[in-house]
Amino acid sequence: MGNYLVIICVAGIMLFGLIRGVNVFEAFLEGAGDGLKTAVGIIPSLTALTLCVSAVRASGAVEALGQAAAPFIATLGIPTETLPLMLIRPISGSGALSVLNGILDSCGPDSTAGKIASVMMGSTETTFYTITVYFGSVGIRKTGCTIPAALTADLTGMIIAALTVNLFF
Amino acid sequence: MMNYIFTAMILTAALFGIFSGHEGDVSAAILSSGKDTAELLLTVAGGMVLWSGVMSVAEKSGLTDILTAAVRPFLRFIMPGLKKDSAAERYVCLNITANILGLGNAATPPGIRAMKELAGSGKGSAEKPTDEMVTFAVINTASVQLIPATVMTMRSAAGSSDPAGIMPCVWAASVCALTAGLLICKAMQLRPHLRSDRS
Repeated sequence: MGNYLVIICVAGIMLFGLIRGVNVFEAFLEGAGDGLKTAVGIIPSLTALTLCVSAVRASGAVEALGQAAAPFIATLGIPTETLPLMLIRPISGSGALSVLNGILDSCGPDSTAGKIASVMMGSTETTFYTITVYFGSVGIRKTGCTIPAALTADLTGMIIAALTVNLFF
Repeated sequence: MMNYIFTAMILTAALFGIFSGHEGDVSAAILSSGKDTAELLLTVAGGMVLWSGVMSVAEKSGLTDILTAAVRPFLRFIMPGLKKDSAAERYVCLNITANILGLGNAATPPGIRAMKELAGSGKGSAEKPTDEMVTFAVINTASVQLIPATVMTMRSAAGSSDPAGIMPCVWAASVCALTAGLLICKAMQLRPHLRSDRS
């Protein structure tokens, strides 16, 4: 089903653009240029976070943490391998990319842990960064109930990620 | 904050690695992390360029307007203080539709404009943001997007037989996440004594 979704999305968008009289090729190139700027922009933080994420993984600290937390998260159907991703996801987007890459490498993208980690990554956002950018832009330091609400959203997304993957696959 | 997290992680790795006998692994991880970054970046960057191109076609062909029309009734419901046809409403819509299309970069400028409009029109102050501002920030921290492009690119690079198979799960999880966030938000806004007005 996923394969059909990709084909329909891409072909559908191109066809829709053509019908609406858009220069599809020009629009694609323009957007791709913006994407390149984003990609170059993440290089410094991705380097920093890959350094500390892979060092922590290699030190064995992640496994120790996973073993300690296993009884709690196993009841929710969440594999211990995804715990580091859950911890870093709200804090750093580059760190989460690096952790997800490690999980896909070590467990395999089609393993249960690999799928759950992918869904967790796709359905949540770098919460603290987003809050900093938006409230920072208007100079407000108190954020009311934003952080508890946003973290509840992240946790819900992660639990539902494990639930749906265990259910559908 | 990242200053402390970054250094704490490095120090944890150093201490834990040395005392648990993993010093060889940690040293190897540090030395190869530059190469790992480059490999990960090639995958992720390629996906970003590709899907930004695709979504830019969607944006220019007016899919944004269609999505805006679909999003507006929902906004009336969750942000009742948002004035109809105001500049704030227009920027909020632009921000949300760009997020749904996965155009993170295109979403931030209208998002910041929306926040400024909301701050100007409401009773918000440096001490306390308005309910609309909080709701808007919560919507932005729950990523509802049609195509989780970066994740699918990484799955494909890792050799998945069905990189896009996770899409329905991503939609379900992000909609549930958004709903939970908004419910907590509304509950706390209706019951001021539950508020924890910390920064």
